Amino acid sequence: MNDKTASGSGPANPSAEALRIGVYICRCGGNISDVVDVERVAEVCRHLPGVVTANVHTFMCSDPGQKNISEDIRNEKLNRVVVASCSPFLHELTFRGAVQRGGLNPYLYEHANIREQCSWSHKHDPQGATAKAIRLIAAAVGKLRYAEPLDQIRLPNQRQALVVGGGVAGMKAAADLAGRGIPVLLVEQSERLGGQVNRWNRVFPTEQPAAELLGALRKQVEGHPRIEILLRSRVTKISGFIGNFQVTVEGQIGPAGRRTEVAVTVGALVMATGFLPYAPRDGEYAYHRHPAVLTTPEFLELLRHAPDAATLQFQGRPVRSIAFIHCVGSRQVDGVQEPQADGKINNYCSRVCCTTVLQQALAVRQRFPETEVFDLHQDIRTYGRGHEDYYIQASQAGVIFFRYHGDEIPTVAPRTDAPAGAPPLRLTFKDYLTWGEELTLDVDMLVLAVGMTAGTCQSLVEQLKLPCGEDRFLQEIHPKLRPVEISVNGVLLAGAVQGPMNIRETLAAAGAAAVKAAAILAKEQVELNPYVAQVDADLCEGTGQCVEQCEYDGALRLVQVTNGDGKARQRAEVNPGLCVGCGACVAVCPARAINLNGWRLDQYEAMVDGLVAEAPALAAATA
Amino acid sequence: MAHSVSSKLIRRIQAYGAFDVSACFNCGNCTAVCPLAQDRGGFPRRLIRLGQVGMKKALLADEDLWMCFGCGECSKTCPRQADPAQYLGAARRYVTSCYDFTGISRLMLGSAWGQLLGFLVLSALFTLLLLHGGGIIDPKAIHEQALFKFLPGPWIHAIGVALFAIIALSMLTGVASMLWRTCGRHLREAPGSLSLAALPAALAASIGDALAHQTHRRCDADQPEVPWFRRPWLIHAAIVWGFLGMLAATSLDFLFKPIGSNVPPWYPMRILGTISGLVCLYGLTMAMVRRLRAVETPYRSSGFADWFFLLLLTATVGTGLATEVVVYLPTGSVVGPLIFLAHVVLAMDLIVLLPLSKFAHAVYRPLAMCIHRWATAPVAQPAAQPAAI
Repeated sequence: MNDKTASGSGPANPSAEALRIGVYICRCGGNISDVVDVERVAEVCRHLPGVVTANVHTFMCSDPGQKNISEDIRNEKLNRVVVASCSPFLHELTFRGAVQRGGLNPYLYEHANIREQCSWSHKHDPQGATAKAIRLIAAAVGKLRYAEPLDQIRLPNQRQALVVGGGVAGMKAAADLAGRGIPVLLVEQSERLGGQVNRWNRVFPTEQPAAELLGALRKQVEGHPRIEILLRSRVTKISGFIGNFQVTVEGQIGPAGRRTEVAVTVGALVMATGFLPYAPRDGEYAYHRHPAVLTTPEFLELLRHAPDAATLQFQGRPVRSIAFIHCVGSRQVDGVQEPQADGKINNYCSRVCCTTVLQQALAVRQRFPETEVFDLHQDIRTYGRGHEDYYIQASQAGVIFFRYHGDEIPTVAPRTDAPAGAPPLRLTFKDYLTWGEELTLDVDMLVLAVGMTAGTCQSLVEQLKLPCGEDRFLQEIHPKLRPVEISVNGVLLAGAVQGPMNIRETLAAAGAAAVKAAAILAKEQVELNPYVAQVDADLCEGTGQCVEQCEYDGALRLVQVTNGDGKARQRAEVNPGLCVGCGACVAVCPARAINLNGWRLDQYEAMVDGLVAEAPALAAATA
Repeated sequence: MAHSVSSKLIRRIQAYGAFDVSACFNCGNCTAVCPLAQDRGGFPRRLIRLGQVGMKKALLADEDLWMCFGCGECSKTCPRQADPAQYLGAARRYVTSCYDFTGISRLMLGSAWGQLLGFLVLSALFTLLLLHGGGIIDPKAIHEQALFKFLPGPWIHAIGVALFAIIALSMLTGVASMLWRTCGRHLREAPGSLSLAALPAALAASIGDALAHQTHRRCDADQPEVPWFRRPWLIHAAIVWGFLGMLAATSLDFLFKPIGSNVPPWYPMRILGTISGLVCLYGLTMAMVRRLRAVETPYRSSGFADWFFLLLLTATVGTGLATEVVVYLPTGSVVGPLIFLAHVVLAMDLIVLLPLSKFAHAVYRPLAMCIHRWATAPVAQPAAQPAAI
C-alpha cells in the first residue's frame, strides 16, 4: 500500500493502538459453519490489527447474539464492530441497532457476508471458503480502521404536499394526505376534477357509474380545510429537493383567463398526472378514413347518448355488427407497426383494454340485442378479480372471438363497392382459433381498443430528472420493494403516471404514495442517509470537473469563497439534499478533495489491502 | 380464398339444440380429453369453430362430425360448460337436415312439434292405406290367415316397396350429398388420396366396426367403475344387433316362409326374431333408463329427437314381440289384429323416417367411418426405380 495515500485523509482516525474492534462470526445454525471453519476464522481475526475480541455465535441475529455485541461494547470498550454473517440486505440494520444500543455510533459498524459469498457459493471447497471469509473480514476490519462516526443528514422540512393531477389518483392522494393532517395543494390542468374517468360510463368490475365514483372522491377533497384546489393550472417550474421543493404554479383564474402565478414550497410531491389514451395514426386500422372507425373513448361517448333499442344507431343508420380490435397502440411489434414519434414502438400491455372491450361488448349485446359483436384479440388478459366474468358473460351473450398474431395484424378497408345498407368496413385477418385460416369480416362499425400512453408530465420529468422506463412511464425504484417511490427523493408516484393501471390499482397506488409522503412530512426535519459527497475545502482547487460530472442537478455547484488572505476562490459545494452518493465526482477530482462519507477512498484502499493480503501474512498473524 | 365470417350458422345449429355452445372460448380441452381425437386435427374443437365462424361448407364436408359416440367426456371437462357433446348432436341433426334435399327433416329434427306431427300424419296415412284394402275388422279373424285377410299381404308389400323406393331415393341423395362433399374435401386437401385400391379394406373395416363397436368401445375404455352390462357401447350394440337380427328374421321370413302360413314357435326364424327382439328391448330399456336418470354425461342432454327415436323403436319392437304372442292365442279377439296393425304402421314409420330422424345416423355414421378410413389409408407408393448404375 502506498503510505502517502493511506495517510492522506481521514482526519479523525484513531491510531492503531486506540482501535478496539470486535469481530463476531455467525455459524448461522450450520449454514455457514458446515463449510467455513469458523473457529479458525475467529482465531485468525483475533490477530488482525486493532481486533481485541473475535467471537463465534450460532445465531448472531438472535437476542443473545445481539446482546453479546452490546455488552462487549460496554465491557470491552469496543469502538468498532464487524459482524460476519449473512447478506447485509438481511441483517445490516439489525446489527447497526445492536451497536447503537451498546452506545456506539451505528456507522462504526461493518458487515461481512460470509454466507451467500462463502459457505453457499463455495460449499465444495471448505478451505477456499474459509480463506475467503478471512479476507472479507480483513477487508471489513481495514475499512473500519478509517471509519468515522456519521449522522443522518437532517434538513428542514416544508410540511406541505403538492399533488399534481386531479384525477382519481390525485384526489385519493390529496384526501389521504389531508386526512393525516397535512396541507395539500392539488393542481389540475382542466376545468374540473376527475381526469379520464370523467369520460367513462360505468366502471368495471363494480358496474358503478363513473360519475358516482368521482362524486364520492370529489366530496372528500372539495371544501376540505386542508386541501387547496387549483383548477385550470399547471406546474411550470420546480426545483429543490426533499423537504424543500420550490414550485411555481401557473393558472388562469376567472373566465377572462387572466394568468396568475403562485409560488409555493412543499416538502413532498405526488405525481398523479395519469395517462393519455393512445391516439391512432391517420389510417391506422382505417381510423379517420371512415367515420365508423372509433376509439374506445369515442365509442363510450356514443354509447352514453344512445337510447336502448334492437340495434345501436350511428349517424342515422343501424349498426348491425361491431368489431372490436384489441391492443391498438399496445403490444406493438417492431417492424409490423410504425414507430411512435420518439422512434419507439409501444410494446407494453395496457392491461385495462381487454376488460374494457369485454365490458362494452357485453353492454352492446344486452342493450342492443340485434347488434352482433365480434372480438379480435391477441390474447384475452382479464386478470383482475371479477374481470374474467365479463369474458364468460360476453361469450355466453354470443360475442364471437377471433385471435390474431401480433406480427400479422388485421387489415381494415372501407368497402367502396358495398351495396347500400351493406356493412361498410371489411376486416381481413388470419384467425388462429380457426387454425390460421384467413377470414374476412364485414361490419358496420369498428372500435379500436386503444391503450394507455405516457407523456402527461414531460416538463416535470425534465426539470426533476425523473427516470422513465422504455415505455416512457415514470419508473419506480423497485417494482416490488419500493413500488411508489422514484429515485428522486420526496417524489412519489400515484397511479397511471407509472404505467397502465385500472382504477382499483390506481387508488391503491395513490393511497400508498400518500402514506409515503405523509411519512416524509411527519417530521420537523427530513432525515437522509449520510453517504453523500463531502468536499475538503483546503484541498479543493475549484476546477469544476466534479460539477460537470454530476448527474443530479443542484447536488454540486461552485461557490465563491473568500480565503483568510482576502482572495476570492472557487470551491465546490455539496447540497446533501440532492446528492445521491453515486461517487462520480470522486472519480474525477484531480486533487482528491472530494470523498463520499462512509465510503472514502482511504477506506476502499484499506479494504483492498485486506482482500489481497498475502496468505502467509494472514497465516503469520495466527502464529 | 378468405372465408367470410357469418354468425348465421351457429344460430341455425343452436335451433337444433346446442344452447350453450356460445360459451365456448376455443381452449381445446375437449380435444385434449376426447378418446377419439387422436390424428383428427383438433376434433371436436374444430367442428365447434366451423360453426362459430359460419363455415357451413366445411362443416357439411367434415365426416368427423359422425365420429363422436357421445361419451360426454368433453362436456364433463369443458371449463365454460359449453357442452360440446350437445353441440355435436345438434350439428349432426343440422347436417342431416342439410343432406336431405326434401327439407322434411328440417321440420322433423328442428322441432318437437314437427316430429310429432310428421309421425301422426304418417301413421294415419299408413293405417288408412292398410285398412283400405282389407275392409272391416273381423272379430273372428284371430289366426294368421285371418290377419292377412284383414290386412292383405300384397297391399302391405306394395306399400312397403313404394315406401322403400322413396326412402331409398331420399337416403341415396343424402348419402350422395355427404359423399360428394366429404370426398371432395379430401381430394382437395390431399390429392391422390381415396385410391380405389384402399376402398375394399376401408369398407370391410367399417362394416366390422359398425357391428363390433371397436371405435365406440374406445370411448368408455376409461370407465372401469361402470359394469359391463351398463356400458354405453354395449347398450348401443344390443340395439344394433337386436335390430339387425329382427331385420334378418323378417327378410328370411319373406324369402322362405309362405306369406300368412302359420309356424310353430321353434321355427328357426321365429327363434332368431324373438331373441333379437329381446336383446334390442334390453338395449332400448337401458338407454331410456339412463336418459331418464340422466346420470352419466352422455345421457344428460337428451333432445326430443333422441326420445322420439328410442320410443318409436321400442314401440316397433314391442308390438312385434306382442304379435308373436297373439298369433298363438285362442281365436275370437280383435286385440291380435290391432297389435299387428300397430306393428306394421310403426315399422313403416320407422323406415320412412330413416333419412329424416335420428335413425339417419345408422347410415351416416358407418359411411363416415368408411370415408375416414379410406381417406387416411396409407397411399401405396409406386416402387422406387432402382438408381442407374
